[in-house]
Amino acid sequence: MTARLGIDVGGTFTDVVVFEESGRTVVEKVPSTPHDASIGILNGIEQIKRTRGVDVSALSVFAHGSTVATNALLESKLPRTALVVTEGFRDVLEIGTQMRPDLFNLAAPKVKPYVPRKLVFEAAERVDRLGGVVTPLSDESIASVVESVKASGVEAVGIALLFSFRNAEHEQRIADALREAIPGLSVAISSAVAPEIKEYQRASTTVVSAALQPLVARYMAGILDGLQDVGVTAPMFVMQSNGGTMTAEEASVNAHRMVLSGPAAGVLAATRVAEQPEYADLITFDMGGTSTDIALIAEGRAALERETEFEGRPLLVPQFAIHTIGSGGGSLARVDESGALRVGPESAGAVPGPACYGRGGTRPTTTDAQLVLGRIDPKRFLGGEMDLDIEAAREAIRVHVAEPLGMELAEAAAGILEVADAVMARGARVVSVNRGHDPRDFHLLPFGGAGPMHALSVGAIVDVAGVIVPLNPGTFSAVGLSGSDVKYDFFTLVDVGMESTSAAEVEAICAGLIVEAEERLASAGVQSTTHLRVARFRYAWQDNDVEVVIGDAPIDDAALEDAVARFHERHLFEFGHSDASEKVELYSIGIEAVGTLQRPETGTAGAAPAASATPDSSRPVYFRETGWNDTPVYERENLAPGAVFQGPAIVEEREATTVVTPNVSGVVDPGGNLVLTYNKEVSA
Amino acid sequence: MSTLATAAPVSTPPERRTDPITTEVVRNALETIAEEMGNALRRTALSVVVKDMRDYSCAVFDAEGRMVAAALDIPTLLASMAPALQACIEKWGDDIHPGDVFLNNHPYMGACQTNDMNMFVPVFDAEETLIGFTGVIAHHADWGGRIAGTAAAQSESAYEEGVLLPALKYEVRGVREQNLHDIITANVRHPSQNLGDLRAQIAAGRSGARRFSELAAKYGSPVLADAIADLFDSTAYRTSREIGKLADGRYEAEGWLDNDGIRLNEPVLMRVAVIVEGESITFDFTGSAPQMAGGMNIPNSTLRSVVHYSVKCLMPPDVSFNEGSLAPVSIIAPEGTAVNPAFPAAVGDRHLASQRLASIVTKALAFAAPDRASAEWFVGWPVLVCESRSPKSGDGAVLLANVAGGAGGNRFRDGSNAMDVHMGNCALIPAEIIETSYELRVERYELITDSGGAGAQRGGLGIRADYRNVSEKPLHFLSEAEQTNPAFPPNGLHGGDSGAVASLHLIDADGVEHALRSKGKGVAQSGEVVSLRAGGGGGFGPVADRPVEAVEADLRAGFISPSAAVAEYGFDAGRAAEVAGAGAVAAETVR
Repeated sequence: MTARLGIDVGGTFTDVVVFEESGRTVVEKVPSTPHDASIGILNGIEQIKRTRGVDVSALSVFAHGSTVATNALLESKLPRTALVVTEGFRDVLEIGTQMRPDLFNLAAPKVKPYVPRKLVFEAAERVDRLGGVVTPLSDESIASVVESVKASGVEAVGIALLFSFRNAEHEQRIADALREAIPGLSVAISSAVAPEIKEYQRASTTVVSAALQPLVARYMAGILDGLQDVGVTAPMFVMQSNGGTMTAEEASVNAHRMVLSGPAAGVLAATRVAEQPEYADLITFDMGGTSTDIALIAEGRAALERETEFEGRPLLVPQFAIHTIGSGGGSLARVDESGALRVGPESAGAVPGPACYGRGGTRPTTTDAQLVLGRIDPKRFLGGEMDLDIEAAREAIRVHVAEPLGMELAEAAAGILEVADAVMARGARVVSVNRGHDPRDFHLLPFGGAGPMHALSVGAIVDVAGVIVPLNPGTFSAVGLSGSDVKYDFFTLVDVGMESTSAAEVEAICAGLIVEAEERLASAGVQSTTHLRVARFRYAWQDNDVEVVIGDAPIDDAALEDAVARFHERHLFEFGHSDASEKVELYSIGIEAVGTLQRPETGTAGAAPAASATPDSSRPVYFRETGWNDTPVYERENLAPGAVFQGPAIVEEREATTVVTPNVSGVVDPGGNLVLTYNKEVSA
Repeated sequence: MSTLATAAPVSTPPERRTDPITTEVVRNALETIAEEMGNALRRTALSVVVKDMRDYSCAVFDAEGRMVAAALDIPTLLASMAPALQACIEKWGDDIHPGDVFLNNHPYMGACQTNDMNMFVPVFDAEETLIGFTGVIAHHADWGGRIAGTAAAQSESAYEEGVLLPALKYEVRGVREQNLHDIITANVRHPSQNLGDLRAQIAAGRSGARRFSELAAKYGSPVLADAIADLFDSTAYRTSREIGKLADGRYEAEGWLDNDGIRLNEPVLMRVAVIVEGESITFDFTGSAPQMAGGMNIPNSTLRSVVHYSVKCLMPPDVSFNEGSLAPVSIIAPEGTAVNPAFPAAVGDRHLASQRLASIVTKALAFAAPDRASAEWFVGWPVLVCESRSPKSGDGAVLLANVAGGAGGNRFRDGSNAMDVHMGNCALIPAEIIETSYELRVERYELITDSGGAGAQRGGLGIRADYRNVSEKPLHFLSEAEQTNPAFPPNGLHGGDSGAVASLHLIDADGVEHALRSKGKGVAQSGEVVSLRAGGGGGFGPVADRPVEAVEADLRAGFISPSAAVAEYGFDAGRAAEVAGAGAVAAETVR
């Protein structure tokens, strides 16, 4: 038998999922251990062994999502790191983009570079835009850089020279000399980390990669030791921000690819749902305690971005295009001095958390509002592991919202939710409308503990076709990890007019990248590989390029022609205009190399006959439209495929609660997903 | 008329027409509409100015042309839209119908500069009652006139600044006005760019209008109108309350522009008195110089933007930005002056003057709102404009590159290095993009040592950018900067010293520097370098209050030189050299 283990380390909980050959998915949730995440991971494995009888020695793959890199950046707990740049560009990090962080605050500080100015060293050298050497790099110059780095006593160094993505020789020579002279030094070069134009963004990413190397290497070694102790012998993989995993060794040298991996596993799991043609267009809605992550999946594919930022500093790394809004289950509600009701962006966070957590929070959050309105069962929150204090929630809402506004308690709580939904709907529209899509063609796919509670009301504002609540929404990221594959992105910046290149030239570049990819994937022990060729085109006079996925077959003339035609189509769709007579440039050509890992075989269920579901219980629940009503409560595990039900209703499972609003119909599909659609108003 | 706005502060909590939940949900929906319009415009526009420099703003208005919600992109454009729309409403009265599209770029009919084109779409509900407008203002790189790019300090009249569109209909009930369209096409230098951007402006405005009518359908037009009125009231009340927290008094400040763009040796005075009286605040610009001969006059809508920006800087971040923000504000600006010019005074370079004016206003407010104050920022906006060629295609390409100076020190920390000016927010173009797109090589982007004003909290440093002409042909360029006169540097506050001023240089093949005029044309031969040097921010608080460790850290980082440590901070020369030496070893360029 083969089984796969996925573990997602969150701020509060560590989720453990085992995906077995029988098709069974086993889920556990244990507290996270922020000072040393590996303790929580090992506890989780021990617990799933004990309570669910999982034989961990038979696991074929262990994939995990880690916040070690993210937290190190957030807390600025980075080793002393230096940067080597081209002469004249010592201030590349200090200057940044020169843009203002806050337009209306005269004292707003710019973000502090990870490398202070005194640890930035210049090398006399210059390469031009085509890679030609303008100023050669002398051995004396290298020796001098080495001496400065040595004297500075740093643990890591990034090297980011101008146009190194065209000619990496100068960077490599400096890196070799540094490694030789300073044993144990972590070195990252920009031509390998982010071979893309824009010196500031590339240098910033390179510095992050270098600084994280020693930390991540130590972390990986620690977990690998611990895994042996608990009997896990399966190879370990780590989530990247591009939705694929990498080996632990790869992570130790490409640590920057972990930084934005937190929300990626959930989106990856959503793309598995989107493999079904009828769910190919989804807006994911991952609602946590302090923020909500929203991403768009169109035609089964989650869009990737190459440039994003973390804590105000740019990162050039392929990642799912995820829009984060500062609104979640812990968002605080308040009445401002003009009598307006505001929700967020302030959050109660994990500590003290919502008032109902009883950890000292006295101000109301959206979670408190859900509880007061009967949508959450206080005895069953997180499988009953956490008793919620409903009186504290009522008091918080009464004092801070209901009384100042002169409203009934329930009306005030419903108001808090309505405002929170309006804020979140803004984010969901950003990812869809702003990329040229019509949200009415999409389903909202909620996950995270709070997602399914808000999905229908948010979806109504966004105007989506409906809502799909997947299986295990409360541990969905770990589900994604348990089904993940290894994925490496490689690309070459080409930047030529289409008239001066050919299919043969383009395919030759791909072939070179594939050799490199095969080598890396082979060492990961994958079963099979595919190499999706991806081109980025643009009009000659324009900066924004458009990604076209060409396919996994070698590129011939017809394929390239077809790709250009699709570029014009995509451009028309996304930007509202296109011109087939304009000069087109190939900006870059690359591959997405995917190595599939051994995956348990699972059967697919056929369609089940429709049957009315029977509620397991009922309780009073408040909705603004209907007031307090005794409302049916369904146990998720008792809802078989084909079961149909009507809102208002509550669907409960151990890690999540789905709130089914009035005028909504639900049905369980063959895969176990809850499919919720808005009832069309009957026209008179 | 010299009174441009009259304060009507709201002192008591406003009576609500709708429940606070509906107001808040409607506010979010309206702000989403403005944001969606901004994103749609950026996605579908053609020009680099709109797409990459993001020189545009979008907003939603009520039926009377009052701004309800805006996407906060470029502050200088935002507050100028309502006056331009109100001119359209006044002109067309009842003759406003579904499908109409208005254009207005007339600086003396509410617009701010001919390049900044206002576009408005009226919004109707299902009963075809006018319920509001959506608006998109976008900067067109060229709008005809005497020089490429249209705006220039040397222009002497609005007639030199391209085609004026005085609140015209570009579409009537969905049908394009062919005559107007043809006039535009015939009078601008790259019509396909303008028409592409106009099309994007209209499409963005129409999609916003559709969402706006959907909102009316959902709530009913009367409820929506009530919610909007509540939003104005609540913003007016909160803004008034915040003004009420400032100490009453008269706060004065003045400053000088280097020149009017024509008479290069004659500085131009601008003056403001900010009078705080209870919950009212008056911005009185009396005493400012007579209107200028060149193109840097500040039209009414831009003056309004300066005031709006300054007021917003006084507010906590959760106070909304809409018509209500100006309720407690009076604006007085005598007619015929640089801050309230009479037609046809030229206004194309009003951004340079208005950035300076914003700095003067913040200087006055520093004493009214000490917690939100900073020493003066550098606001000279050095810029290089040239027609080069793309090394890839050989096609001609116009570059507009600006470099940032330093922010002023403030109560909490040193001023930031390299921060774009008040009212603006343009990005530095990466050196690798410049070299790829033009026959230029950026030889350095670096901070200028000692450019920040000394103080307990030091001013930020400005950027030096060197562009080498690597073409075989001479490069014809226009270079401009304000704040180049050493007599009028970015001032310190509470005893802090001034920051450095800007300068422009041409470095010849022998490495010899030649100073350039603060505004004017030049030629760089093959191999020569144009060097832009921005100024630094003023210092905050007396130098004596700067901790020794902070001075030493600046020496190690090279933000100040050993001689500045001696001259400004009273350091012992030996000690200064020793501390700097430790860092200087590291910083020394190695060959």
